[in-house]
Amino acid sequence: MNTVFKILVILVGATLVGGLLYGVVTVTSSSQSPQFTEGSSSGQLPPDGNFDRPDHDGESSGIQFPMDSIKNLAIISVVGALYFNAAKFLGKRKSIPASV
Amino acid sequence: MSKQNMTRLLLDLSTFVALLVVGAPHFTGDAVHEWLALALSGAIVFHLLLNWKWIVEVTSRLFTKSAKNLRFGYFLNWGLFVSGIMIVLSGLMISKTVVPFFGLSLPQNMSWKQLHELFTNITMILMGLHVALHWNWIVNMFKRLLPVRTASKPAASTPVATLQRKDARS
Repeated sequence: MNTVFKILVILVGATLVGGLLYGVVTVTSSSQSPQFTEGSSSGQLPPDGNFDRPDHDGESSGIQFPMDSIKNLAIISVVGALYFNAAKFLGKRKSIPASV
Repeated sequence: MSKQNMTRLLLDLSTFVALLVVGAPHFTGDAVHEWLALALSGAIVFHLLLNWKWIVEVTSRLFTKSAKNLRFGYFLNWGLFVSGIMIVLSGLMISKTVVPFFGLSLPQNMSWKQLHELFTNITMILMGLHVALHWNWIVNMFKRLLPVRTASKPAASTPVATLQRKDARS
């Protein structure tokens, strides 16, 4: 029961944050670009006439080299290393007593 | 190593690997990308459950002096949470597999794709900081899991005979 309550808290938190973000994005983007629904009766077409998910436009499907994973791993490594070195540098500066 | 720490380590490792795999939709294809991302959301809920005690403790004394060093990590984790929700939300909005599987169709909007990519990059940066913050814990867990066996060299004066097994002696 306790675990169910915790899961509910997480899901409610996620729903609130998600709802807020959805509202913000919908309000800001509706004033910029027209929306269209797949199979809608209004007959509206997207500006480029493409109903596909806008991901991977013009790219061939199939297994490719996992370049994105390597890029993400590189981002994580670089940021982590930067944080580590910054923390070490700040730690050293704190440990050095002020010169008289 | 305690059972809970072992569970944490295994969950975190598999979540990290899944994050890297999910981050390469060109490699996996759309279906694997979307379903694995949904499973990853479940794993993150489990990760939060395992660390619930820490969340409650730090939240209750966030602005006290004793929690001064924890504030950065706390807000970083909130950033990760919000960023993760944004990825899931924008991913669902541009979904090709999961949303149609449930017989739903959502309004298409190009800005969701841009947001999906933007928040993926933000999440990777935050994840780098998250891993760096817990690096010592990760290293310690691996040290416990894989103890380095440093074979102690015998002293020069030790007679060779003493190193032989008893049953090997004539």
